[in-house]
Amino acid sequence: MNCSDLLEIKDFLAKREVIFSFAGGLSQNAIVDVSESLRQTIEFNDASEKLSNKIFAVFIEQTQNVIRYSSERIPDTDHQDQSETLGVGIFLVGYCKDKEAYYLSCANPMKNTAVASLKEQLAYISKLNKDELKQHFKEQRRKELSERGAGIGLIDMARKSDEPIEYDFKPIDDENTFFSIQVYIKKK
Amino acid sequence: MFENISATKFTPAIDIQDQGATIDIKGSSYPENIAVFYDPFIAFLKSNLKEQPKLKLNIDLVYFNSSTSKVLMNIFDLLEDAAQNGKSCQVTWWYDEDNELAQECGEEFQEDYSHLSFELKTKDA
Repeated sequence: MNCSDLLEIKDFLAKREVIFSFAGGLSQNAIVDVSESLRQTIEFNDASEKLSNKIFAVFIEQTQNVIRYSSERIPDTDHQDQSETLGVGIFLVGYCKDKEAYYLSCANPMKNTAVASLKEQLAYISKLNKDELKQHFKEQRRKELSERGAGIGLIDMARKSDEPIEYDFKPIDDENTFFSIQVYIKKK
Repeated sequence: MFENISATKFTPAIDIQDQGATIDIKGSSYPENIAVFYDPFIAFLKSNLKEQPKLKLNIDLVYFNSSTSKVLMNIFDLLEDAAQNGKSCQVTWWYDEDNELAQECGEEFQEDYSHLSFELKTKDA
């Protein structure tokens, strides 16, 4: 990395209207700290409390999924928490002028073995309207196993999103795929 | 007996009063491991419900994640069963007027229960 690269990186982010970014290893403590920084950024951009609460909620769902499911891990040497590793991922918030909405994008590598099921869930969710999503959320909440969260977390994100959620899968190697998800929250 | 728990940034305070007749859950809830935090409380709640003739549960959660939503549903299911079997069970869902998400979540839970007394109340400013 050369510091002369920073201008290119800054322009890359600016072109995408990014106002907040975090890339690296996430732990529960890290997301608490990052969320406070994110809240300040959003409030500085003159957002309503409702908007701020929605953004915070989606941030938590997205980043907790990174902690749980990222297949790239870093040892957590500082804490004797339940999780002994940090989940590596990237998280961005931007403001899309055209849609008059904030976007929250989150991505992490994931195991190929989990891809098919995730694709199926997302394909199903993206076809549902608000009432159907609410129904689906309630049904899945009754079914879901207690340890794993991502099932209803995704539905929750879709419910809070003001546009159909966008997602992308990019194969990395024999074992891993890079998974990205993007949610839009309108500035009302 | 269940020892009262103080709030952290991502787990709520759980306060048991009146020998278990009143329980307050207050704060935010998004722990990394939902079972580690809530399983002891759920175990206590189950045995408490057997002993108490009635139970009042106050919930004041500014934010909770989707895993917590499932735990809350499990808690309310327990109270709904107890209420169906004749126990007086009441849930008060507290929220700030400005917190529309909290209000909506409370209303959604309220829709699902018919024997349990489930009311929504705004907090004083």
